[in-house]
Amino acid sequence: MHTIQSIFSLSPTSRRRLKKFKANRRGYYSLLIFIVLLIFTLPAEFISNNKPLIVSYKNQLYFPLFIDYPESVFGGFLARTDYRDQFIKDEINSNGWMIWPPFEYSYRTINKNPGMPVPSPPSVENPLGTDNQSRDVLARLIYGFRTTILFSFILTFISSIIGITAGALQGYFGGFIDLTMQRFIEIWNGLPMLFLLIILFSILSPSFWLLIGVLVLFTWARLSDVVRAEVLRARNFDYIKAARALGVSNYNIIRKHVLPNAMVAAITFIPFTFSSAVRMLIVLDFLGFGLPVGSASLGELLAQGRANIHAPWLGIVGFLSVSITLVLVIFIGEAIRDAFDPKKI
Amino acid sequence: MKSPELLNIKNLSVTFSTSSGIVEAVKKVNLKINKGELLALVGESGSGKTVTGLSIPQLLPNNIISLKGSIVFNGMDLLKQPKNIIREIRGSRISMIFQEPMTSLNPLHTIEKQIGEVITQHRPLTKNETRSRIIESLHMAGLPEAESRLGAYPHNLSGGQRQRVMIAIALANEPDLLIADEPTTSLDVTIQAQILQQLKDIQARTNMAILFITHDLGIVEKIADRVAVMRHGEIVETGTTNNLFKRPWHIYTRHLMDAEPKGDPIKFNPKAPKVIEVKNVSVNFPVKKGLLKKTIDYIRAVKNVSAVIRQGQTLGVVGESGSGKTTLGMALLRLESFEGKVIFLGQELNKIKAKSMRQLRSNMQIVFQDPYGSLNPRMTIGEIIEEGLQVHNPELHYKERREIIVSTLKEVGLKKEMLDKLPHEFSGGQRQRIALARALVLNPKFIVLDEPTSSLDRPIQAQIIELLRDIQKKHKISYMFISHDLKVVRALSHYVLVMREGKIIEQGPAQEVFEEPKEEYTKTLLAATMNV
Repeated sequence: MHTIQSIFSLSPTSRRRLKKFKANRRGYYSLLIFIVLLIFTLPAEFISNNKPLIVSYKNQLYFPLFIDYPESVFGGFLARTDYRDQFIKDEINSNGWMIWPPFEYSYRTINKNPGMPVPSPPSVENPLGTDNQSRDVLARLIYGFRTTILFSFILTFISSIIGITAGALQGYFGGFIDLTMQRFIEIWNGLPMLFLLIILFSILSPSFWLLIGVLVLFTWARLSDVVRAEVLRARNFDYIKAARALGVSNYNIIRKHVLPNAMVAAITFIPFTFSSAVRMLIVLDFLGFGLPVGSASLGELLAQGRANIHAPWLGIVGFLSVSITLVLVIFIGEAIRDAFDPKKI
Repeated sequence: MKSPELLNIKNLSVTFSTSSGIVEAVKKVNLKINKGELLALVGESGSGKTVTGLSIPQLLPNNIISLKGSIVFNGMDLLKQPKNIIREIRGSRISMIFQEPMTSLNPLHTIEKQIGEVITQHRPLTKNETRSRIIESLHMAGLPEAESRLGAYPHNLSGGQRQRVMIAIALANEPDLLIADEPTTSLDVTIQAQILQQLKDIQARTNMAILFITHDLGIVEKIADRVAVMRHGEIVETGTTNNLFKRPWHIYTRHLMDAEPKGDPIKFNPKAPKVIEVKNVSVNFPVKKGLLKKTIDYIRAVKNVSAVIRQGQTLGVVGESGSGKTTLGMALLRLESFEGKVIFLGQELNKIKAKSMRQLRSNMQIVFQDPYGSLNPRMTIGEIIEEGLQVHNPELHYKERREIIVSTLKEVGLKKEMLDKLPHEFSGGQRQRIALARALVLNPKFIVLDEPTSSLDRPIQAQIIELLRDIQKKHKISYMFISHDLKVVRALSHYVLVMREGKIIEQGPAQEVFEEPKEEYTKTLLAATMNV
């Protein structure tokens, strides 16, 4: 009962921080825009896809989004139904109905009749044009944005957990543990990340999770430094000594006393880990060492823009999407940092 | 010299905006200081005395909303002057000394540079003239070997020496008014006495006026010409020191004066069982150097200390900062590793395993000096007190634990409604009660009290001591009471250890040590506290 209450009623400090965050209009509106973008891109399959959401064919309901039906169901001959094919469309519409997502392209859908040599400029059919493989740029942007954000969220989450744990251990126990880990982190941070990634991915074929795993190795150390310093400071507080005098175990002291007070520093740092994760993914994709070939990504869009100077819509869309994403993330991060800063009134 | 009046504050009101709302820190204060006079401004913490002091050179923080009234200094209203005139006056006509000598000097500059800066700021002097002026003011502040210390950095100096440097900075331009904001509070008693004497001497020589802000009536009685007593932002009483101390008419002034800790420790049975026995305990801190952190030397913080504490007895440990008294307390709880024997309830602490040590901890507790640092700011009072119960009595239900907590809270004089509040909502004295409740909830046999009253105002100190005595009487708890304040120690202790540089230099029953001290050091210590 008590705990439920304490979750729902914000502490005065949190309420003050929320107020400060809202007072920072730049950060607050950035967050609102960011949330709207997430609402439109997270369910990307329902917003922009080459399959209808629901099909009613000969009085039977089909859900192509979740189940792959062979084309023979609708009188065709392919192993998978191509719902964008005019023949299938006519067949279904004359024997029932179907509901399409608002935009009829997936990130892999190829516009077979762009009516122009690809990359084709923006048109009614493709509002942001097509790329050099005749794929719709808007669809790739929606999917690419989602991948970037999800990737950065997961990367930030994992590397924060590792970084905070490592920092807390170092700071709390100090001495030999701290010394060894500090030296290790210094050497580790000296490794040239980009070259290592290039070498690594020329051996292994990159995938979403492999990329996260490798990048985590290079991002946790920065946060651990911040947390370590905070914990070192907190370790000497009297209330930590009092807890030791009460016989509280080390694990519980770290969990209940040390970490919550060191978290403020960590939380102000996390948005910037997030924005650097966004940047890293874009850079790797741009260089061609990122996500598997064919995935939708902002970096790949930029690379296409560079390769096709004569098709400026690729470069412009790539540039705007990357810069707007980064600007939003950094503004939100700044607002969070200021909201947690106890010195600013 | 038309009139003897130097400073006249009329109807000064200062209002702040803080996170908890608008606070009127100073309300219609009227105050006069004559030339060459030492006026003491006395009050508890939060009474607005520091704000009054800061508003004279207009050094108030940014969150002030309104500043009303007038501050007439040498015939000119400071509140109406433009900023450049105020800057001209600051440091040359009006100087300040702050409480904390550790942080009021810039650690990156030499003493010479810091004093020189104030001088050249206000007077175009050549290098040699400045230097002789610096040495002169250091002499005046009583810093020995001033010439050879010019190149020293603040960390080369002790707390008392730093405060002397601060005084030298304040005196460098021979100001008309010196505002001293608790200049001796953070110093040891013997040094405190020296600094006060120095200030008094300087004042007599230069005819400078001093506004002396303090909470310590003992100091006031010794040095002030006139006294103003402040409470809740208002001046409740002013008068000459003699009159005020002989015939205080305001009830609050009387309350402040009665607040000296007094009374005797409660009686205890000298044949009661031993709770803790300390035999030849030493604590050494290794000094490490180099890449591999090799231990090259030890700092001997506690040297060969032996003592016995019986049930219901209080052992007072007295000494200046750095004498090892806190380290000794931490060693007795095995919160600091030590050599020698500590036998607690028949068990030798150094020989038992960490797990059984953890169980034993419910019998030994500690209360710290700083009421702000000793409570986790993110936990409610209930959670703070509950923590020990969760460790040692995990079988209890939530409801049972609550009952125990509430009765403990009652015992230390707090209310049940405070359970769900956070530490920052409480005053220093209340926090100290909470820390005591955290220790008491486990029914300990022994509590180390590490300067539990030093950061509290006198009236609150007296209350806490009363409370400690009541608890001891009721539960027969043994205390180890660590303090530099001999008055407080006297009111509580049966047996006293006097420590210096890690060693016990004198010990004996409290009465004996206080009335017939044998060692020279104990005598100076006593003279410094009891007579100031």
